[in-house]
Parts: sequence; C-alpha cells; structure tokens
Amino acid sequence: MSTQGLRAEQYLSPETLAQLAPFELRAKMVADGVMNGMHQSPLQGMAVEFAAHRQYTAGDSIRHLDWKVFGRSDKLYVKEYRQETNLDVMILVDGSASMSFGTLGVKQGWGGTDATRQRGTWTKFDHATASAAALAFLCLSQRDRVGVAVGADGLRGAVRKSAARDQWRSIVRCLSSEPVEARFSPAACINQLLAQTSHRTLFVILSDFLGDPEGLRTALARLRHRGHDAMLLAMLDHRELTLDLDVEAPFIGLEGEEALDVDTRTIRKAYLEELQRHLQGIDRQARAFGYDLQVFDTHESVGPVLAALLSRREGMVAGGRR
Amino acid sequence: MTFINPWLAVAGAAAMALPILIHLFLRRRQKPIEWAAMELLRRAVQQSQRTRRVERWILLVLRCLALLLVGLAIARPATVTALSMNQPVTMAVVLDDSVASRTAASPTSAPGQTAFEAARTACIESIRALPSGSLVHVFTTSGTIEHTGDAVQPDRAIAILGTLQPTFEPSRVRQAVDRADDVLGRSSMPGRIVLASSFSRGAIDTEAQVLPPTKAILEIRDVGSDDTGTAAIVSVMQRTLGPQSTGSVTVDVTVTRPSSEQARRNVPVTVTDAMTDRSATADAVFIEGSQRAVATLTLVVDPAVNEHAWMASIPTDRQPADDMRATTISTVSSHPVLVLDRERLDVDEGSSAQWIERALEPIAGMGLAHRRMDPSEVRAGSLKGATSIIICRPELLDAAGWAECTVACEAGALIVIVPPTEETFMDWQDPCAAMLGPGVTIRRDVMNHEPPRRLQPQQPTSPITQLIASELTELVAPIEVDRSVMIEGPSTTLSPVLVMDDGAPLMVLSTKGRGVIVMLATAPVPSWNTLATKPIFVPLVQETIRQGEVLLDAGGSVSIGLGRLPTGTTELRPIRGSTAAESSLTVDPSGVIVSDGVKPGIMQVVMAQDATASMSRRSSFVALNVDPAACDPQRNDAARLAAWLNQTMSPQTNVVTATSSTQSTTSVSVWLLLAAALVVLAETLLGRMFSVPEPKAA
Repeated sequence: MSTQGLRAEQYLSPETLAQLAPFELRAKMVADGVMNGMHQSPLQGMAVEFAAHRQYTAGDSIRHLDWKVFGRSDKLYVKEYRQETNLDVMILVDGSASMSFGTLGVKQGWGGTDATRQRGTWTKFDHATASAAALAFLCLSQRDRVGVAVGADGLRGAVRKSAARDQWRSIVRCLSSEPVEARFSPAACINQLLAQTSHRTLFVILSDFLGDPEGLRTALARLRHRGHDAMLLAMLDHRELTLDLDVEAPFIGLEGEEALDVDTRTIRKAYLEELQRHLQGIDRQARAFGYDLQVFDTHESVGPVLAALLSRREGMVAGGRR
Repeated sequence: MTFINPWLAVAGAAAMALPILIHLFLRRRQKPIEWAAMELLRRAVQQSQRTRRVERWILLVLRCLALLLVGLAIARPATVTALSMNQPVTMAVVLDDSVASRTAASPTSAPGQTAFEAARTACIESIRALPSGSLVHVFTTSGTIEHTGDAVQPDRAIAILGTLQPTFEPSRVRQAVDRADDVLGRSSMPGRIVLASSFSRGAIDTEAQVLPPTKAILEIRDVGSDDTGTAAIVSVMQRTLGPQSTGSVTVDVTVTRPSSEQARRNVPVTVTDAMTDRSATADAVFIEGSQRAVATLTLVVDPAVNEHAWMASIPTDRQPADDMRATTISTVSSHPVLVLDRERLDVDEGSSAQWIERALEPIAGMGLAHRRMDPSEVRAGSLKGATSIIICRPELLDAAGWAECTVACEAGALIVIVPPTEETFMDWQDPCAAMLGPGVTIRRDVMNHEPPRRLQPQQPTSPITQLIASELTELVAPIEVDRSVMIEGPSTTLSPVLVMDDGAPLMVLSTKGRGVIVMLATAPVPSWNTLATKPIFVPLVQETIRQGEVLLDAGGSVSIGLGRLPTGTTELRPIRGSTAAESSLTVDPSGVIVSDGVKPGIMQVVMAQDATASMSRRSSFVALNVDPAACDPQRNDAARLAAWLNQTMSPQTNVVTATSSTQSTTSVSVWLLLAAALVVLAETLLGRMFSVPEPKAA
C-alpha cells in the first residue's frame, strides 16, 4: 500500500500510532492527520484586525472614532477590532498505575511508553500521552502557549507553558520519561499547577477518572474559582467499556486493590450500569462547573480528542470576543 | 431398594459429579486478571454476583440431578414389594430342580451348598414370610413333579420342598412359570410367583427361552452359581471303526472349561468299559486361551465282543452335574457291505461296483467285508441284517427294490447311491430323490463338463470326512470331474460332503428314519472323473462306510429329557449309572421315558418282539447323558440377563431380583426417566430465565 493512498484518519488509529517509534513523529503524524482530514479548520480566517462599525455613544473612547466616516457622512462611528487572543493550554496527564491498563496488543519493536513496553499492549497512558503530544503540537503550531504535566499522587513532571520553539522538545521529553505508578489525585495535581498559573488557562485533563469523584470535584471547583476553563478527557480501554470477557477468575487491581473473584458473565450487566453511573456522575460534576467530559476508547482513533480540543478552543476564542 | 443393574446406578451417581468436576476444572484453569476499574467491579459484584451465584448453583444441582436420575432409571431400581404384608396370597413356588441346579451355588452362599439347596432355602424363606391364610403351589422347572392343582398350607409346602431332589432333566422355566400363572389366575386371592434358580446358562437360556408376561407378581430369587475351576465332557468318540486287529480302541474325550481366569489347565479324564470294568485315565490339557481340549485314551478290548459301552467322567470336578458322559461303540462290523450290481466281466475300465469294492479292500484282511447282490433280486426281507448298502446300479432297482431299501434305511442302515454309468431310460432319479428326502430333485440329464470341473479347495465340514479333513484340500486338488448329475434340495435335508468349484454338490448326506443316505453326483469310473484313480478314493469310500455307520441311530446316546429312544424300545435296564441300584425305566411307544428319576448311565435296551424283527441292526445298549448345555454352570451375562428380564416384563408384572423381595422396575424406571426429562426441561427454562441479556457497552 502506498503512503499516498492513506487517509488522514488512518494516522490517528492506535494501531498506526503504536508502530511509530519516535514520539515526535507520532505526534506530528497525528496533528497533520487532523489538519489534513478536516475540511474546514476552526482556525481558518482568524486573527483579522477590523471587525465592525458601531454608532458612537456617550462614554466611548474617542480614540476609536473613524474620522474618515465622519468626514464623509457627518456621523460618529466607532471602529471595533477583533481582539487578538493568545490561548494558554495546560495539559495534565494521569500517570497513575491504573493508566497502565490496556488490552490492544502491540507487536515487539513498536514504539510507545514504558507502560507499553512492559505490558506489550497499547495502554491508556499510551493513548493519553499520544493525545497530549498531538494536542501540544497543534497548540504550538498555532503559536499558543502550552505546558504539560504528568501527575499521580502529585505532580511528577511538568513543563511550564510557553510558545517557544524548543517547547515541543521539552514536552515530549516529559511525557515519554515519566513512569506510571501510584494513585491519581487530581486535587493535589491541580493545586500544584494553579500555584504556577496566573493567566486564564484551558486545563486539559487526560485520565481514566476511575478514582474518587470527590477529589475530582474539589479540583474542578478550584479551577472554576480561579476562572479557568477545563476539558476532561476520559481514557478508557475498550474492555473496560464493554467487559467483553467470559471468564470466572480472580481480578486483581493495578493500584493495590484487594483481589476479587468475578464471573464476568454474571456481573456484566451490573458492571456496565455502574460504569455508566460513574461516568454520568463525573459528567454532571464537570457540567456543574461549565466544563465538558469526553470519553474515549483507547482502541479507537485519537482524532476525536483533537477535534474536541479545537472545538473547545474556538468556543473560548469566541467567548473572548464577546 | 435394590437395582437390577447396580453398576449403572453407581455410574449414574458418578456421572453426577461430572458437572461439578467440569465446573471446578474450568475454575482452576483461570489465571488472575489485572483490572483497572476495580471499584466498579466490586460494586457490580456486590450488586449481582450473589444472586447469580445462587442461580448457577440451582442450575448445577439440576444438571447433576438429571444425570443421577438417568443413571438410576437405567439401573432399573426395584422397590420393596407393595404387597400388603397382612393380605393373604396364593404363592406359586417354582423351584429349579433341573440338572443345572446340581452345580455349586454362588461363592457367597454356604460352603458346599448346591444351587438347588440354595434355591430351596430361598423358596422356604419366601413361604415363611407369607401372611397367615396364604396358600402355596409347588412347581419344579424340570417338570418332573406332576402338579395336582390344589394349593397347600405353607407348612405342607415346606415339607414337599424338603423331599425334592435335583434331577438330570433340562430346565423348562417357561413351561413352569406358565403353569404357575395359569393356576394362580384361577385363585381368588392375589397371586405371587417365586422363581428360585441359579440363573446360570444351563438354567436359563436367554436366547432360546422367553419368560411370558405373568399376571401375578413375579419374584426372582437369584442364588447364583460358581463356575470357577469346572470342566465338562461334551463328547466321547472312537477314532476307528471296524475290525480291531490290535485288540484296543482309541477314544477321544472332548472336554470344555469356562473362560474364567481360574479355569483349570489339566483335567484328568477316566473312561471305563461298562461291561468289563476296564478303565484308562488321561489328562485333557488346555492350551492358553483355549476353552476346549481333547484327552486321548486307549482301552484294551476283547475282539470277540461287538459292542462296548464307555463311561467317561472327570473324577475331580467341583461340579457333579456335567462331568460324566456315556457312549456306546461298535468295535466290530459284523455285517458285510452289500454292493448292489450285476456281475460283469466285459468292462474295460471297470464298473462303479468294481472300483468301490477295490477301495473297500485295498489290503487283504484290513478292509471291510463286502458281498455283491443283483439289484433286481432285492425283495422283501432280502436286505435284512445289512448295515451298509451301496447302490451302484439304481436303474436296475424296481419299485419293490426301492421300497425295501427305504425300509432298511429307516430301520437303521447306511445307503450309498452312485449314479448309473450308462445311458438308461429307466426312471431311477425320482425314487432316489424321494429316498433322499422331501424337496430333493435329481436332473434326468447327465451334465458333461468341458473343461472338467474341479473341487473347491475348502470343502465343507462333514461328519463323513472329519477324520481326513486336515488332508482334504490336498486330496481333492487333483480330482477332475467330466460328468455328473445335478442334485438339488433344501439345506435342511441335504448337507454337502464334497462340492465342486461351481458350488454344485459332488457328494451329499441325508438322513431318513434312523438311517443315513450318502449320494455321489458322479460315478467313480474313469470316463466320468478321475476320482477312482486318485489317492482320495480309498479313504473316502472307507470313511463313508465307517463314519456313516457311526451316524446311525441304533441305540447310541440319548440326552435326558431331550432325545427319543429307538422305536420299539419298551424298557431300559440299568447296567451302570451315576448311582447304583437303579430300577428299570419304562418307555412309551413314542420313545419317551415315562418313569421318574432318570439318571445318566448305560442302560440295556429291551425291545418289543416285532420291533426286533424289523431292525436291521440291533443295539444292546443306550447311553443316557445329561445335555452339556443344560448343566452349563457359567453365569449368564448380567446385561443379557437384565435384558431377558425386561423382555419378559409387562407393566403388571412385578419382577423381584437378587435375594430381596422387590417390586416392578419398569414403572419406576419410566417415572425416573420422566423426572429426568422434567429436570432437564426445568434446567433449560431456568437457564434461559437466568441468562443475562447481552448489555450495551457504556
């Protein structure tokens, strides 16, 4: 198959990504795939200076009066300009042990994180880091300031927000070097990030959100209180979403939970109901603060992740104009 | 409760463990699975697994139950009889007193007890358990006790049973049970039949006898039999016949043993001359895996005595019923062979009669005596005293001649017929075919074979050729047949002795009355075949005469309860038997012994005067033997016996087995199978109800 015949979506599938050993290459392929694959970019036509004329009202600054119009029509009009926005994005990737779960097989020699290499599967952490890198690449290509952090029970590694040219290298290094271990504490991680954040920022949190919902609520409340925007991207493995297993076996947790004897056939229905309830609860929490939750299947393309981000960014830009 | 097939019940119980083992095996095989969403899993387990586990246990129990029920149904359970213990009944006790009951009872019974004694004890137990007011009929399987039709009190029945002794008669279970059921059918009280037997192969022939469905409750008391280490004599046969120049006779005694591992390897056999008390002993040595062996014994005889009676016995056998067999043997052929042909001197190649006469007397003094008679001179009484008649010119026999030959044959003569060598318009085929038997035809035209026919290498087994059977293939190989007549007839009438390569018979054997007829399809002359010039001819002719005479039913051996005695026999006087001091036995005109207490042994035959006059060959003795099959102590195969019982049961019939009184198995088994079907149905429905519909992914 020649590479010319490849469609953009094919670059976004986990199977393809897993075969791209260099992390940078993988992110670039994703970003290019998204850009090429989208018919109408949400960024198209941005950054134009003049927006519209408006009749002068008392109190308006006379600096923006359009004197040429006044000269021709003897009426006072004020020129309005579209505000130039500069988005700050902070990507927080969950690096807890539960993120090392994955069931999509990858072959020996394929690229990925430590989690991939250890387990021989495409893990949730792989999916999250691939998505995070691609997001960062996109942001940087739009000259947005972007930073990244990997956290579990606290921040493990972070790269401060910047739009500098070498920022991309720093982000990739951070994402590819952090191990997956311990439990995820969103509140602790957000607290640490907020301590370093002064401008209004879009926080993108990539996690499986399988931990305590209360901790997440606290974190989101802090973000809202500081006036930041946030996106919750839930990375869940296909098997977690469907429980497509017919076994009766002991199940052991990745974060040190007690082993449990389970017959999947007997509890599948209840499990899926519980999962639904759990995700709906997180979604409710997110919406309560004006945020969104997107659930992603790690067996599927990372394209929707990026599309979701771009859609969100457009919304923020539009909100800024208002 | 007991089971007719207890092993199947055990198998059913064992099969019950199968679903559990599968469950445990599948469970053990699973390796631990790592999982991230443990909290969700834990909540789901709390919510549903307990309920599902109960449901799955219910299904598992139902599956086990279904297997158990099927196993029990196949095992045919029998419950304790439902007869009210207080209600008087009429009981018919059918005691096995046949020769099979003389064998040792099951090893679990009292030491030294015979099957008859064990069966009698079982019957007495059943009688003693009867409620007061009950009546008893006593029947025996040998049928030797004539039932009066009147029921007796239990005490009287026990006394009658105490007087009974085992007989040498074969078992007639069907007739006895039939009679008992008939008698009980006329009773106003509920009927109950108790059949006590060893159920060995001798007692119950599961292939030949079918127990009729009875209206009364049928209890079966199986006392078992012990066949380990037993042996039985099945035949005693003299090797040679005719003049005994050596003054001794060689006798082959064939002995069988059961196929069990405890079977004996060497069985000593003793043969005693009933007349002189001379005896000889030899071992029948069984080779590994064989169930049959032959002991060869040589006995000194007096050449002046024409007939001897031998008794072969196994002196150290555990089973007394089947270890003795008597036989009568003619050691000297006192009557010359009569050859029916005209004296001819002008035949180049020689006539059939000349070739046959040469074969009868190859060496002077060692052959068979013979004399020539013109066929046209055969008239009433002219053949009297002849034991072997060779008809070389059948076309010369007139109707009176054929009639006389037929009478001689029926009276116990050997007739050998050879087709005429010359073309003739005389009808010899039809009377000849009529003599051979019903349905036999002989074609009128002589068939010319071009190229000549040969004989099949593998010839059929025949008593005529039994002593030359091992060399027969070699002997028949050079024979070529150019001409022959076609003999056709039903296999029940004609048995082939020699056959040609196209399947057509060259020599056939038939019986008529007490006589034997052998017919050649070709004349033994060179223009018809090469038979007369080949090495087979002399032994074939001599064996035809010797073995043909052995086949003649002139006294000989009779099986007790089965065989018929020679016509005209009125009385049998004991010479030597299984026990001493026997009284004479009376025989009815049809040849059946009407006296009681028939025992095996050598008996002197007393014949009516007119019968003696018509007999061509008189025998002084008859050997009364037990039928080896009727006293076979080997256990009936359990499955076959169970199938036999099933075959005999009707829904109203209650069959009781083993040593305890039990009730019908048919209805219980049907109910069990029905229950198993319901359980399977319930399992299917519950399984469907419990099954979790495939949910949609979150």
